[in-house]
Amino acid sequence: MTDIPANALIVVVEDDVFERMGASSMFLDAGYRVLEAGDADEALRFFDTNADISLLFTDVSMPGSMSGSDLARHVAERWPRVGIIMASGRPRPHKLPLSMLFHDKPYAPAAVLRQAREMTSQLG
Amino acid sequence: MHGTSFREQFTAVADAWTLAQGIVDTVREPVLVLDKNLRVIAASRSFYSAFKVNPEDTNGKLLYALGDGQWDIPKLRVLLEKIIPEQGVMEGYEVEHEFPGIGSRTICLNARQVFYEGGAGTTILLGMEDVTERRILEREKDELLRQKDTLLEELQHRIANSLQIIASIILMKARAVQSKETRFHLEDAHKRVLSIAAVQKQLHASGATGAIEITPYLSKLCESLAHSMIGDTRPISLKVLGEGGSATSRQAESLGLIVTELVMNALKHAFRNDKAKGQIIVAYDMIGTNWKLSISDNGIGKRDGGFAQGKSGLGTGIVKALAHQLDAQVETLAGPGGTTVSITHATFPTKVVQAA
Repeated sequence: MTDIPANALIVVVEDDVFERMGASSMFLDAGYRVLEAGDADEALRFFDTNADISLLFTDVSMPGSMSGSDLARHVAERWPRVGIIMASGRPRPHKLPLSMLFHDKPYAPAAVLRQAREMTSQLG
Repeated sequence: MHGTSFREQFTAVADAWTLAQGIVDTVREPVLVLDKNLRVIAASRSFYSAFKVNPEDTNGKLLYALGDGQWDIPKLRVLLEKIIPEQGVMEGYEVEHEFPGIGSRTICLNARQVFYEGGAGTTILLGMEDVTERRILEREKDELLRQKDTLLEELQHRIANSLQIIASIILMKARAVQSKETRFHLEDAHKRVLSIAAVQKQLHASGATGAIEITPYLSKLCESLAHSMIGDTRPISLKVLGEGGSATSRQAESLGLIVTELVMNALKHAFRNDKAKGQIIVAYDMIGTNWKLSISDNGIGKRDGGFAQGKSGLGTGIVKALAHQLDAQVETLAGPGGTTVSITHATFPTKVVQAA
């Protein structure tokens, strides 16, 4: 069961390679399973093929057909049980629903992991 | 007739007319004098030159018929046929119009109705100031200001992303190394990257230039520190108190880094017993040019002499160096009730007054 978040599956979406590696290793180190995507389209393909994704950790400004906030809204609508945490070097988007958590870059891993733990242990 | 001869009166009227035409010709702004039927009685020389027309085609003609009807502008009709008869005067009425000879212009109209004794009719004075260039410059200035804001935001965004990359790399290194000590140092470096980013972010939010109000700035900074460093599991509160004051952004940056250093230090060392309700208070007070910043905790108090107990001792060095830059003194008081570190800038140190 997903009471222990260590098994939870997380999708990390980030167009910058270093940042993506950093975020992945942060979650992997905390015991999560991680799928890495470079843009929203790639992330959505993961969602389509993996029913057990419990968290989306995404950048906001990204190239491609959808921004991080578009992706977050889409995921919230189609997979409402998925927790959403966003991070950006820009201010929090105004229209972002309060249920979506937001971190300024550079984010504090401890704070992100704490929220991830809460969100993933609420599931299941 | 009242003792004034016809000829004398005629002369006076002719003089008045000459004077009026002289005034109309002197003003640099194009001016038309219209009768009550909106026929041109007189036009200033500036009118002829600005709108590239000549006196023959202007004097005695209806305003709307001038220059192939180029003055037959709906907004001008409203001004002359509605606003002026009702209000008598109108200033700063802007009209944008395409003039065949001179192109698209923005004209600022000033109109005034003049009544004569005996009610023999009225005259309308119509001043036209070409403000096209001024409006273009204003729009350009607004556009440049917008571009500057966009650029500044973009720059801020890039800095944040670069700091994120640096933070990510340091943390990946910290996870990869075997040595506990090396990992500790890398994690410490990672925290410093975050704290510099937090200070930068709050400084940017407080406005990049000019004076920074210290209390709201430190409050936001401490909120961000509490969010990233304390977490929900540790019962430690972080408050900002004091009368506040303002500082330059450079001073505010140093103050912010000192606060970050000392708060991180207190979090790391002051609270051994997590059951106790921990408290950290940041206070800033200012009197004239003198100010005092203090960071107090109700933790375990002094242990081995210095305030920074970190293995590297880097914290102590950073705080001292920043205080020195601010021309301030660092003082540490520690006891059973906790530790207080004060950074004091006093322009006039108290002198010992001795009795003679």
